[in-house]
Amino acid sequence: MWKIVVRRLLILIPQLIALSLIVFFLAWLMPGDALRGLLDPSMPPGEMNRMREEAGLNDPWFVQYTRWVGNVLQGDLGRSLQHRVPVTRVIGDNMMNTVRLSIMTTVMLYAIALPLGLLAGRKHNKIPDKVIMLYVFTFFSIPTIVLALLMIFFFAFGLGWFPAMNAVDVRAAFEGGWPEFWSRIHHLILPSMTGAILGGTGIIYFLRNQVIDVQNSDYITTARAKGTPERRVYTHHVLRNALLPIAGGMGASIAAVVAGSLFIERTFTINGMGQLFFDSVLGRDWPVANALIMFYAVVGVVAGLLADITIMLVDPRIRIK
Amino acid sequence: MHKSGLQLAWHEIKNDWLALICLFLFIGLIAVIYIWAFAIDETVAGRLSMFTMNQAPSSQFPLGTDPMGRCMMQQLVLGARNSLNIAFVVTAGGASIGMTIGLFLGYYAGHVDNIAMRLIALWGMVPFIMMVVILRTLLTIETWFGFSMLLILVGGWLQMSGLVRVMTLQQGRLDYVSASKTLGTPNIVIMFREVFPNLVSIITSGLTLALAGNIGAEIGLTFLGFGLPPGTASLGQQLSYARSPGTMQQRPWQWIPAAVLVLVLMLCINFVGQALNRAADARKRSR
Repeated sequence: MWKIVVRRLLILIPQLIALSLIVFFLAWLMPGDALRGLLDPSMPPGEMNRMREEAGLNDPWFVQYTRWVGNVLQGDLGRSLQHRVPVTRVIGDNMMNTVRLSIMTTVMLYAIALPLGLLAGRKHNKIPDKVIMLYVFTFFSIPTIVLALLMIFFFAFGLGWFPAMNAVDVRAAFEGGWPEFWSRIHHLILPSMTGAILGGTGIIYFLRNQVIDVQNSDYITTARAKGTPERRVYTHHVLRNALLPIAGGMGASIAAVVAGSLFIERTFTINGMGQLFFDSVLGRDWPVANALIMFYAVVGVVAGLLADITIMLVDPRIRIK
Repeated sequence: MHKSGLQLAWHEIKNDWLALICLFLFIGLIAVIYIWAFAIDETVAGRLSMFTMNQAPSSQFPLGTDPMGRCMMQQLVLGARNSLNIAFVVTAGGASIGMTIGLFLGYYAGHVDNIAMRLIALWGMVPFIMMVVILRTLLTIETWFGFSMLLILVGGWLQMSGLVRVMTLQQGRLDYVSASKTLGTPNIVIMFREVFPNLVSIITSGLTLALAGNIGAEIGLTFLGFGLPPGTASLGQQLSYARSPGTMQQRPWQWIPAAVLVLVLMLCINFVGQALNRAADARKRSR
C-alpha cells in the first residue's frame, strides 16, 4: 500500500512545480514589485533603484524564480503592500474563519446529503425520491449569491433567527470561552447552510443512482434470498458499496466547499481568506492576492491527492500490485 | 429505429411533461426578454432622474425604480438580456473550443493526449473565480463581449474538452472508425463527420449545464464587482443592490425580481437538462 501512496506523492512534485510557474507568471503580470511595500516618501530618488539592484529584481527571470521558490519554501511570501506586514501574518489572521466555515459546511453537507441520497435511492420512484429529486434539481445550479441573499432576506432579516453578517459577535469574542463559541456557531449556521444546500445536490444525486445500481446487483438478491432482514441488507450490503465512491469524492467536495467559501464570505461579510482575496485585489495588494491564489490551488491539489489515496484505501480493486 | 442525437433528445423531452413545460417557458422567456429589450430605447431608459429615486412599485413603474430613478422593469429586461448575451456567447465559444480540443486529444490519444491532459489539469488547479478576478483587474475590459472572451479563455472550455475527450476516446476504439481509416477517409473528416454526430446527445446535455454555470458566473463576478463594467445593466448588477442591508430589507423590489428571474431560468435549464441527460445515457432512456 505504501508503494501507491509514494507513487501518488511523486506526481505531486511536477504538479507543484507547474503551479509555482503559473503563480510566478501571474506575479510577473502584476504591476509593481516586492519593494513597493517598503516605499517611503523620505527616500532619496536613486535609492529605489539601488535597492532593486540589491534585492536582485533586475536579474533574469529564472534566477528570480529560483530565489522566490526558495523563499516560499522557507515560509517567506513577501510583504503586504497595504498592511505593511509579512503576507503570512495577514493571511494567518483571516485563515481560521475560512477553516471554521469550511469545516461547518462540510459537516452540514454530509449530514444533509447522505441520509437524503440513501432515502431517495431506497424509495426509488416513490414519493420521497420524487420530493428529494425536486430539491436536487431546484438547487442544482442556483448561483451561490442568489441563495445566500435569499437566505439572509428570509432567515436573518425576515425571521430574525440568525445574524446576517460577521463571523462572531464582538462582545462575545471579547468574553471568550463558551459565549464566543456559541456566537461563532450561531453566526456560521446560515453561511454554511447555504454552502451545504448547494454542494449537497451533486452528492445526493450520485448516491441515489449508486444505491439504485447496487440494489439490482446479484449479491443483494443473494442476501435477500438467504433471508437477511431488509434493514441489514441496507446497512451491511447496500450502504457499504454505495458509499465507496462518496468516500473517494470527499476530497473534491471539500475543495469545492473551500472554493465556494469565496462567494459566501463576501456575501455574509465573514473575514476569511476569500474576503481578504477580494479586498487585496481591490486594494492592488498583489503579494497577498498571489499568496492566496497559491494557497487555494494547493488546497485543490492536496484534496485531489487525499481523494486518490482514500479511494485506494477503501476500494481494494484499484490498488496496484 | 435508429435515432439521431437530437431526435433522441426531443423524444425524451416530449415524454416528460415537466421538461416540456420548462423548455417552452425558457424559450418564451428568452423571446420576451430579447424582443422587449429591442423595443426599449436604451438612452431614454438609462436617463437618471432625481425625482423618481427608489420609488416603490406603482402603476407608472410596475417594479418601482432603482437608486438612479430608472424604471426597474426596463432595467430588469435590459439586464437579463445582457446577462443572457454573455451566457450564450461564453457557452457557445467555450463549447466550440472545448469540443475541438477534446476531439483532437481523444482521437489521437497517446503521448500528445497525455501531456495535454496534464497541462489542462494544471490550468484547472487555479480556482476559476480567482483567475478571472485577477485578470479582470489587470486587463482593461470595457464591453460585455470582452468580458465574455475572458470567461471563455480562463475556464469556459475546460469542462467540455474533458467530456468530449473521454467520449471520443471510447468512440475511437470502435470498428466504424477503423473501417473508415482503412477506406482512406481523412482524419479530420472522421473526427467531425463521423465521431462528432455520435456525441451530440452528450454535448447537448453538457451545454445546458454550461449555460446555467455561465449565467451564475456573470452574476457572481458582477455582484463582487469584477464583472461587467460599472453602469451596465445585468442580473448580477441588480442583485448587488442587495449588498446594502437597507436596500435588502426596505426596497426588495430592487433585487427580488432579478433573483426570481434567475431562479426560474435555472429551474427551466435544469429540468430540460435532466431530460437531455437521459437521452445521452442509454440505460436511463424511456422507450
